[in-house]
Amino acid sequence: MSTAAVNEMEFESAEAAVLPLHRRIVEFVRRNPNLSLGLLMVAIIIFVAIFAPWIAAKDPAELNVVTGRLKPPSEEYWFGSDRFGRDVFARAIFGGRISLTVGITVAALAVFIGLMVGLLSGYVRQIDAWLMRIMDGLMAIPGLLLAIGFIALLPAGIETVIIALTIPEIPRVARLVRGVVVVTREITYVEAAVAAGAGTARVIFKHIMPNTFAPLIVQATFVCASAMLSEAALSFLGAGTPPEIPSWGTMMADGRSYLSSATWIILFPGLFLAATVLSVNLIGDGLRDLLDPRFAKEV
Amino acid sequence: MSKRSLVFSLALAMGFSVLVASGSALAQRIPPKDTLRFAGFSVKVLDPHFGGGGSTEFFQYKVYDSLFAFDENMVVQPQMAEKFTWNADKTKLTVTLRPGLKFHDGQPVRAADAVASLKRWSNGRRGTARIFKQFTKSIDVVDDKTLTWTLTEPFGMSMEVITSVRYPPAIIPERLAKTPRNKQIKDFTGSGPYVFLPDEYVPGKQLHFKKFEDYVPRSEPPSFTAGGKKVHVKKLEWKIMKDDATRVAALRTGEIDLIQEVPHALRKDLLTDPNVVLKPLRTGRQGLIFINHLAPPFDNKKARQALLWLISQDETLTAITGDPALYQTCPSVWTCASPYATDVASEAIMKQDLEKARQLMKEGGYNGQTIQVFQAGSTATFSNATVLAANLRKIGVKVQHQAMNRGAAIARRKNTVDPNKDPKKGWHIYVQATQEVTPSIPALMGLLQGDGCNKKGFYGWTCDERIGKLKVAFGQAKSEAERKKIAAELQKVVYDTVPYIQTGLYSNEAAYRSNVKGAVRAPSPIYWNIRKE
Amino acid sequence: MFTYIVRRCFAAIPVMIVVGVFVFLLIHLTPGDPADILADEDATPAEIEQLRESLGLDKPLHTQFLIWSGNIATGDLGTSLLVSKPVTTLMAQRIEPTIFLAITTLTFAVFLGVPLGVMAAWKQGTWWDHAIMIFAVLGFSVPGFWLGFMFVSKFAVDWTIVPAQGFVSIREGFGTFLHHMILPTITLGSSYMALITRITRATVVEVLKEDYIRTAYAKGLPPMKVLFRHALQNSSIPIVTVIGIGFALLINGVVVIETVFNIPGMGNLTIEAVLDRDYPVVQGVILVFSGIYVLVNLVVDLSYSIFDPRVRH
Repeated sequence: MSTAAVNEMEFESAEAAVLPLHRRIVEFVRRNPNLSLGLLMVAIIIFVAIFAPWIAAKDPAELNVVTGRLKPPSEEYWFGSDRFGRDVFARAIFGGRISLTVGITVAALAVFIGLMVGLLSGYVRQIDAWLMRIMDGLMAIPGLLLAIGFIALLPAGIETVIIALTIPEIPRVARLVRGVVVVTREITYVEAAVAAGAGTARVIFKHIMPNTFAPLIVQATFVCASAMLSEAALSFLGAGTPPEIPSWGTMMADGRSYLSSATWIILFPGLFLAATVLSVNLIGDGLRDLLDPRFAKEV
Repeated sequence: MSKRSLVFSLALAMGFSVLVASGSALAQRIPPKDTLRFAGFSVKVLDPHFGGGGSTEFFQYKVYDSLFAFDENMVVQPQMAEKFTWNADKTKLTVTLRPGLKFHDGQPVRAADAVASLKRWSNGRRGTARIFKQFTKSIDVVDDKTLTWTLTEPFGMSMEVITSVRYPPAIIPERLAKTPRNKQIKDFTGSGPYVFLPDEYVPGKQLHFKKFEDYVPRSEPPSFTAGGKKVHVKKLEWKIMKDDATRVAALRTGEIDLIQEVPHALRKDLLTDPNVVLKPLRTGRQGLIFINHLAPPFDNKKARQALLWLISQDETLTAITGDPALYQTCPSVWTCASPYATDVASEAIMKQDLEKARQLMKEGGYNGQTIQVFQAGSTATFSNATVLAANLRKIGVKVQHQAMNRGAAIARRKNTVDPNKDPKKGWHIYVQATQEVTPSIPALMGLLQGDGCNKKGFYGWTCDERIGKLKVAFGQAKSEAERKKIAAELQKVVYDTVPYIQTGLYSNEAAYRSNVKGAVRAPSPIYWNIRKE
Repeated sequence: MFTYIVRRCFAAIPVMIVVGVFVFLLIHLTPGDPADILADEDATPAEIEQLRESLGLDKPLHTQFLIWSGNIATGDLGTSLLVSKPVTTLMAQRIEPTIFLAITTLTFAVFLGVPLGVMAAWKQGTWWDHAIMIFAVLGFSVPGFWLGFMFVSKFAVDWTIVPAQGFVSIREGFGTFLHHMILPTITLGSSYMALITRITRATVVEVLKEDYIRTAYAKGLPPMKVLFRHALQNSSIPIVTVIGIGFALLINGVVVIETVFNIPGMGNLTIEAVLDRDYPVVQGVILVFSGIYVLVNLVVDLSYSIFDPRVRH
């Protein structure tokens, strides 16, 4: 983390230390309303996803074809039932597990791999050109089409969707990291560290990497949000999560034909997805304001 | 001008032009009265003898004509033929062409064209074409208007084979029929009621046709694919629309006149629309469950029979259609529209008994392995497989259900690898749907194969020589009574050895604007006799 | 500077080679091939094998690659295995809707996104700012196809003020063209606009803190002039960059939106070709898409070096 950002946080906590906990929280919320709202919503969604089996009264895979098809929301089916007579509420809650897993895993993988590639490329000039050409090549292929290609190549499953959505994101992260590195390494203190005889690894991890954190955290939330949306888009195109797995994307894809006759099938997973993506984006925006990149620039 | 006012005035200008445009645009997007515009699926292959999916057949019925056709009662009627006669021992058919038949390029249709076309068609990959070739000794030109078909031996269903309810042998000019069958023709000159307009063809977007003015329709009223093919519109526009919801929306706004098949899920939206009529125009489909006979547990007959007890056609068909009016349960492997339909030995398929299924599965050697179920494409096959998987779970069987696209599914289904050892490549159960192959040439002829011993032959690799023998006997039967007897016998064998399972018939209605009249029911969408008021 | 540009142009060649090899391998290693798709449901394995031979798919992979890349060198992208038309013809027939959709979307997104972003930055921390940002984040959070279907069911089916689907060439009348473009443009443009709004706000907020802006205010210039003349102009580089990078987002969106609104464009062509394993089409289309992308990136890279001399080695 950049020194300035750390300073600011220290300053905040120093100020906050004199206040009682609830006042500190109120203060934080007042200062970062979007971030707080995002964090709260994501916390609720993750809680619901983790405790899905205890929250949902019904089994999401249980069929009731003969008597339970397309029932509107009621006491029995809180969010109505789909064309197989499955409980939309149970599926929406279990679906969150899949969609969140996709979003978070893709973000984590893309950021980690992209960070490594970007650091190497930005600092080790000998391989920069090579790595960047490969990254450029990957990035040049439209992401969704690349993902469709991978999904066709690999055995259908949620792992495949994760891989397919991660690969197109890596070059974007790598480029971002490399950009920060290229600028940072020209900065006096890094040059000083090199002059002082610090090893490459030390320079990279100690002096350069921290500068990438602020933009990376923001980028990670963006990747996470877009991965969840892409998962839905791929399902819609019939080339994503296999339809037998209940993710918000597959539920919406399956329910789109019932848009006007049984709206609840597409409405609830759609709302869940939009709410989740919205809160993740809010967190991203909030973090960006909190870790104001201006400080990084001024270092 | 400041940037802000520039932005503002540009936005204003855009908004205004849109408003002005709206009035004229709304009128333009409705097809004119002499143009029939319908939404269909994408078509890849236009060559009628080559292969490809069902849409090739839609194309064929517009541009090409054939010698014979089926009427509503599934009786063969002459179409391009004026008359036909058999010799005494039924080994030689003589066909005379109708006078005045012309190709779209103005050339007359000659016997030589028909002979060359039949030859090219018989080299194709279609099931009936294969039977045709098997029984053909020679096809010869007698004179300009006469040809003969000589058989190797008398064959009871020869008329049905040469007519072929699916992909009938399209007659194309001799010069084109010389193209090797592994190469697609690029000139789509036919002699059918519509002329294809290659300049307006955009693959994946549209195929346009115009009325063939020189077409001479028969005088009989249209009946199924037989009878007079009178065209009442000047232009026929086939718009390719991939998404179901988009197709339905376009019909409701009048941008198109007709949808070939209404998706079951969207039926409700159209039922309440006063401008739209729903009517079944095509024969239905049936769900098929293929079973891999090579790998445990389904290498054991009992495990396969367990599936018969497990499946409820009612439940499956409800999941697919959601409306009893759109489906029909059927005990017969011959499909219920067939004159050979019978309920012999059909107790297991007509009754659901989970306990019995569990018992048979156990006796069949099921020992806890995960059963690999996969399926391609459509919503209907997905529903079918979902219900099957849920029922398997109910009787304590572990299931992995995978939906995949057609390419991947076709690649996987030919894999003979043991699914218990390689669950990603091999498979236990493959769910598919086929056209309800109408009465006389049942699906059985193509799909039912017993020659799968030693991993050869058809997917599923059924190994039962009784099937092959009975099929030959069926084809050679001298009388209808004898054939019915063999049909029942064959059904018994099918329900004993279970090469695959039929899960009942379902259909999709066509939907059209209320000003469209005269649509004819047929095995494939046909657009003669239809008009707009 | 000139040598830098030339060097960057040459650097684009290996990128295209990477793309070419990558796409070739990806599609050819995918299970299922065109012969399977072309054959009938009841074709026997032997018949499919025969068909495969006639399509030249039985040749070893490297031979197929050499044939393909040799043809590309002469500008021949091959012939579709399924519809037996040259890939270039197929693309020529499909590229118009996609280009126009991209143009209308870009126009919509920039003309709405930039003013909104500037507005939010100007009123930073106020109710205006929050409202605009929530709106922008929302545009970013709703799946495009969902939005599209909602629009169609309301505006096209219920109120019949716009067509539900289809594309009309601009040659057939600008009014009709625009009328068909309204829904797809708004649907596709919403997320793109959200992106531009966010970036514009972020950069303008930065610039507004600069000394010369304070000076401009201090000189008594009207706020609008300061905002659009000074602040926006100095924020334009990152905004233009994002417009370039957002091109990828646009192409992703195009694939989905073309399906929803039945627009016969490149996205539609590609996805169908991937699912049908129509090798030459997939390879050709992706190569062209990537070529455009590389070009855009090249321009963005060059603009970096023009505006930030530190990057120029």
